[in-house]
Amino acid sequence: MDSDQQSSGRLLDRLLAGCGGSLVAYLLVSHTVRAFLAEVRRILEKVLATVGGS
Amino acid sequence: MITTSVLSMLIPAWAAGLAAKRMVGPENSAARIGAWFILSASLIVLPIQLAAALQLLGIIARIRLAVPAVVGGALLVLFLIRDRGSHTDRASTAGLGRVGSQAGRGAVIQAAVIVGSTYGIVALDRVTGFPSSWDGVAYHLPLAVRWLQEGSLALPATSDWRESLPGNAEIIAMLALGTGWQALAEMWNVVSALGLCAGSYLLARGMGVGASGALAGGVLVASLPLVLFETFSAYVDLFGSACLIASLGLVVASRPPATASLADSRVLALSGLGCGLAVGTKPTLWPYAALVAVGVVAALIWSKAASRRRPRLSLIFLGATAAPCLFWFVRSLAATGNPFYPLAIEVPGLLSLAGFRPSEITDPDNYLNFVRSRGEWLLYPWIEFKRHRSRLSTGSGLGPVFAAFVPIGLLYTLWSVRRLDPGPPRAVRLACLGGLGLGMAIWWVAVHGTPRFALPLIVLACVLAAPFLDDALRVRPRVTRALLVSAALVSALLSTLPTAQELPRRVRHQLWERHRFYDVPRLIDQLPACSIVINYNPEDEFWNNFALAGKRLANTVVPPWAARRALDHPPDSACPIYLFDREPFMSGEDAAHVEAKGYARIDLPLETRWRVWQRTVR
Repeated sequence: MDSDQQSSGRLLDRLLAGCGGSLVAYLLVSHTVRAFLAEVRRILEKVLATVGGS
Repeated sequence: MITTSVLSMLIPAWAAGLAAKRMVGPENSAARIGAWFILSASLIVLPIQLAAALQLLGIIARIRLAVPAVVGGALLVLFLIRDRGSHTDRASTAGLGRVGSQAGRGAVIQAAVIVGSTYGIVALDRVTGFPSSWDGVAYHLPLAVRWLQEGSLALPATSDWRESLPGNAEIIAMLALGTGWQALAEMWNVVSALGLCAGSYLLARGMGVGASGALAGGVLVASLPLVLFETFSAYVDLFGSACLIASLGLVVASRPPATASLADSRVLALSGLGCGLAVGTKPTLWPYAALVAVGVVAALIWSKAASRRRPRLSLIFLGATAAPCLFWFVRSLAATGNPFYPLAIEVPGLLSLAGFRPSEITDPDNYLNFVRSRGEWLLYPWIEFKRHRSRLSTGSGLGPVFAAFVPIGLLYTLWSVRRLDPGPPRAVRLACLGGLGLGMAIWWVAVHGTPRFALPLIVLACVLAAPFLDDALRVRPRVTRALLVSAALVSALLSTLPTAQELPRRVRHQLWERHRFYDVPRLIDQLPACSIVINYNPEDEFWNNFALAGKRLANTVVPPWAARRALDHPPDSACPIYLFDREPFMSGEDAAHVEAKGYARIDLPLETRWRVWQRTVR
């Protein structure tokens, strides 16, 4: 493997780590994810209330 | 009408399939899909526009829905006769059939299956329901209904901007509504999504990206919640964007502009048709279509083609561009003196053409529904702020796959372009990067408002990330697969939750009948033929404009923006006139005004959310 390929590989490693970080950032700060989690929580509470009530 | 409409959708699609095969050859599926998409739309839109022009000139009484079937049928017969005697006479498709890198194909297919399954789930919702996209039922579909009822594409007397925009997509919706299956008026956009993905794939291949990387670019595009929800809606941004991207993809992938070879005139004609279809779809696409047109003509001028052929090729492209959009400009010019109506044109001291300023059509502060300041657009892929509704929808949403790969992929393409040898892939990447930069500047300054107005640019950004995915899939396949599949799974979860909630609700409340689905009185489906229904609701009740047309689409609905005028100046018609008012009801003073105009209240004992009046005097 020549040095050009190695440096290319290293760059891709860093960029892929950046992609992972970017995905994590999306999961942490996105209003869409927050709304999704709030909705899931609401559904679960409703289900638990129904199960508890019966 | 049902059979005619079905045939007018199927026969042009069949003829387009044969024509696409002849024009770009059978060896590359993406090119055939892109060509088929543009040709199908053209074979539906152009004959209807021609008939509409004849109708406006008074040569024929009304547009016949059979026109696309007749034109498509004639082409079909021509192709079948010619194919019997000779081999397919197809254009050279150098560059379209390259196999390229197969590395990472499994990962891309896994991601494609996940993304595809979200389309399946949302499709299930739409197939079992009725059109429900906001702008769709507010004015896109009511416009198509009006054209269907009147047999004319004339501008309305109200000259309201919503009913005066160019309407290539609404022509297709009109035929879809004519089939009697109203969900088809949204479902047909699946074809637009196919055209968009095929165009993206071709564009990525034109950048020198391998098959897997180009496919990954297509998956990026399909994963955009904006694209997913527009696919199953009557919004027109997706159709117009798909026409533009397919147009660009065909011309770039068939004959990269920097090569010594001539661009094939048939592919150029196809590309021009795609560009023109976009222009005739929505004014927000005009700047991007202008960029594509300038780019193609510039590429022709700078190509090493024989100089005497350049003007002819440029004319073929520009002529094909004019064909599917000229009608709308001439219609506006004839009716208002402003070819760009409903847009007002103001050049201080030189020109003043009446119409609506962009701020009257889209609130200048509309962007605050998506970001809290203009600077936040730079972080929008991660934040996806929404002031009113937090779910992903047609209005916005780039999704996790975009956030994970596109910003970094763009940086990689920018960095790597200088390392490429001079040649077509480098030229295409540079042209697309330049086009993206220019397009973003135009969007920022002139279009703005909402992310979907930038859909062609968002798609272009996804395609420009394909070289990164291609290299990453080849060099680091396992990590890239893990990231791609994870992001696709998150996207699928986020996108399908609204549908997963809606479907059980529909089953629980038995919302299979149209009036129950839209929550309108059953009476709306039982009104006498040709009834005029005034939708007397505040402006935020545009939703009912389509619902009040009834299940046979036989009622003529007067939308809220024309309701006051219709009340004070009743339509000169022998048809019965009704006024529907949905809660929160009009004030007592307004109700007295309605009764003073000769309307009597109809008793609806089981209905609490609606009040209905019928005009009793003539």
